Amino acid sequence: MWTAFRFSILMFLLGGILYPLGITLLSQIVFPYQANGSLISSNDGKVIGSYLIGQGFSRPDYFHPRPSFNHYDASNSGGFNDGPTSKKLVKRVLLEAKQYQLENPMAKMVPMDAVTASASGLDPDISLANAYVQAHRVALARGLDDTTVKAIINQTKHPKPVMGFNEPSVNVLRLNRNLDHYQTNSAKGFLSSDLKSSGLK
Amino acid sequence: MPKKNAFWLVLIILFALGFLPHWGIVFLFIAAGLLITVFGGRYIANVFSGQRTLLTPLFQPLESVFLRVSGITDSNSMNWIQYGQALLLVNILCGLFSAMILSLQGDLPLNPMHFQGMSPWLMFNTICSFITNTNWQSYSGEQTLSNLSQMLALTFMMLIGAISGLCVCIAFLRGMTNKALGHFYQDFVRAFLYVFLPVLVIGSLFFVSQGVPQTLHQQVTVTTIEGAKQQIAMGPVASLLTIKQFGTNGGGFFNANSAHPYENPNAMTNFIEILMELAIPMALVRTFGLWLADKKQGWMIWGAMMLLFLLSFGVGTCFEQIGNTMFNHVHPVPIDQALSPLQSGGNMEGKEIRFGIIPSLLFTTATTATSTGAVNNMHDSLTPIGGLVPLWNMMLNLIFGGVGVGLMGFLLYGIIAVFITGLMVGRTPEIFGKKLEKPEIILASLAILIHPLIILVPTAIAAMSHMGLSAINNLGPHGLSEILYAYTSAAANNGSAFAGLNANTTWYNISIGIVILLGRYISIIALLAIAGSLLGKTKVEPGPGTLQTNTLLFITVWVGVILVVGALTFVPALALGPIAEQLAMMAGNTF
Repeated sequence: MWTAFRFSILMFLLGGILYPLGITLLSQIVFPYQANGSLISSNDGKVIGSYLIGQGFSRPDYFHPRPSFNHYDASNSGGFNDGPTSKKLVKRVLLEAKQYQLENPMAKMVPMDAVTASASGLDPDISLANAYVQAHRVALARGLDDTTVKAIINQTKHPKPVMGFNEPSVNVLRLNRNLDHYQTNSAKGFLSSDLKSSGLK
Repeated sequence: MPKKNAFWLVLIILFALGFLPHWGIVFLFIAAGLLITVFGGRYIANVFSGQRTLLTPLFQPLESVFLRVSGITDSNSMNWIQYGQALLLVNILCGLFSAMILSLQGDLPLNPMHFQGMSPWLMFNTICSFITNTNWQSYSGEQTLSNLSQMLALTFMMLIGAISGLCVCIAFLRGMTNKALGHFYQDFVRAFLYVFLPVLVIGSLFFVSQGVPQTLHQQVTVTTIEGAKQQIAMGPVASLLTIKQFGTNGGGFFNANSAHPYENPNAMTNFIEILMELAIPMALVRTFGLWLADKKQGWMIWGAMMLLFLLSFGVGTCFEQIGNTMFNHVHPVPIDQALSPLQSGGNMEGKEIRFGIIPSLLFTTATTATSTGAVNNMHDSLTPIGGLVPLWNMMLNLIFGGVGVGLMGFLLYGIIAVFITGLMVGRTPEIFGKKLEKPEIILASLAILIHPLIILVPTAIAAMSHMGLSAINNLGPHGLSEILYAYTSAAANNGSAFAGLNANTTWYNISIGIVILLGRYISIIALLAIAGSLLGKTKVEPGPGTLQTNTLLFITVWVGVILVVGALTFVPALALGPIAEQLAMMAGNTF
């Protein structure tokens, strides 16, 4: 009994205290950026979020993320947990589809990911299919042409899937920031030559 | 061709097949699994038979210091009762420490969000769940626990639970292979130092490098591009994540578990998390083969497990890729679920874009085949047959299985299979050179029968009562699946959930807590007793009439017994739940 007690205390010190705190110390020294949540700042130094964590966008000149259970509240992750035959699910998906179609009247189809919620409610990505459909609306709202916006998508998207790694997708926050950068920079006659050579069809 | 060359050739072929579109990751997964099995299995065998390994010069002094500090002077082998007692004592004491921390959380430091201590029944459930390697969570991590509790209570219990499982399995394997059972504390320290510590340190740092936070801050508030305030929860995630995966624990830091981008940032971390879940369970099969001095036996079992694994995975993936047929005929603008170069397609409800369908299902299969229970997609939102796959895996609970207990479950069925074939041909049943007699068969039957008993009885009670039904989130057959899933997950010490079920009620906290305890300790004690009893018998040399257990024929019988005895019990429940729901979905019925 006494042995088990001493042994448990020892394991508590090693596994409960030393291990997590040691890893914290190491990570803070070796990977301080990632260890603190990969937070990014805008040009004026304000923290605007993290590329890993999705955030809500509703303005027409931004790409919209997927529907979210928690409206991108990153202190309360989770999904709807509606079963496949649930009335709640069908109603929600059809409503989202209607909304999507209103926002993107040119859409010939609605990509599945655009109307379904992610598991965490914080999905930072959308599928390429979804991004290409939204491109027209975004271009219109920004006074750009579709090809420019599609070129920015192609520049921003995740690398092509190899060996089952990476899905055809693009990070929404990164995409929207790149759009903003493009417009502030193209006012200075910048970047447009880069875009033409970016393999755009 | 020499066996060694054949092995590398197979690996190269599998690696090349890895470049196939979409399904490539599966071949890569098998290749990685083979590598882990071969090297990990040998390593574990060496560590626990006291042979020299690469890390011995570093850890041997530490091992003796740790044992001396705890007041352990002899390292003579224990008998099964002493071994079991020591294990239970350490589990109870560690559970009590953690209970103290969880209930006093409100007054302890590192709690910037001022979370209160857990309520008694939730705490009971959480302690039972974490100390037994189950990690069922009736709470939401980022909304309930301070960083101190996440480290001192949860990370700690995960470590204890996982190492305990490994120790029992090692003792059981020693008993089966005619070795002395061993010394619990020595095994425990060795498991911690040689097996867990190196992987935990390297794994944690890898995860941090990929974007998993490891900080003592609990929440950051940012202003998004559109000007909204976003609260981002974080904390010491990487250290918890690594033990969660490697120890087949599965209790997430965040409510969304490994679907949360901070707990699984990209496709690569997803793949590594899957491999970590399977690493020890796979390796132990080879350790067993080595100790038995019958490598073929080990590989036969491994192959059978892998086959069952791929079967589950294949079925689940196909149904998920087809998607939810409810949405096939939406007018006027159709919803597109088809796989294309621009999207992963399939049933994306409750899934993350960065994992798509195939890696999501690989994770789902791995997490329920082993007793991990972490999720990277919401199992509640899987298609009915897609959701049947995790249920099925947990009902069998031996496809690689949890750290330690999975292989023991498989061997248990071996005992039954030998017994049944012995009856058929009228011979005394023998397994691995040991005669099986009444006590072993009674203990094995007990360990096998307890599993359906503690799943089906509470499910039936919950399905007939208000306290059970009021917690479900979905009506119709899916509601039954939610309840069935909860108790299956608890009995299998898995911990994943059809998370729509609001399980933080007194009824579910207590009943699930009890099912978890029964599911864990009855079988562990029965297995230790079997090992102790087998150890007392003299080894019979194999004769011409001995039943060979390492042949393809016998492995087929073995798997047959698993399917008939282990799975048939559950078919009626599955027919009322997922199968009924699949038919309803195809007919377009909603609930």
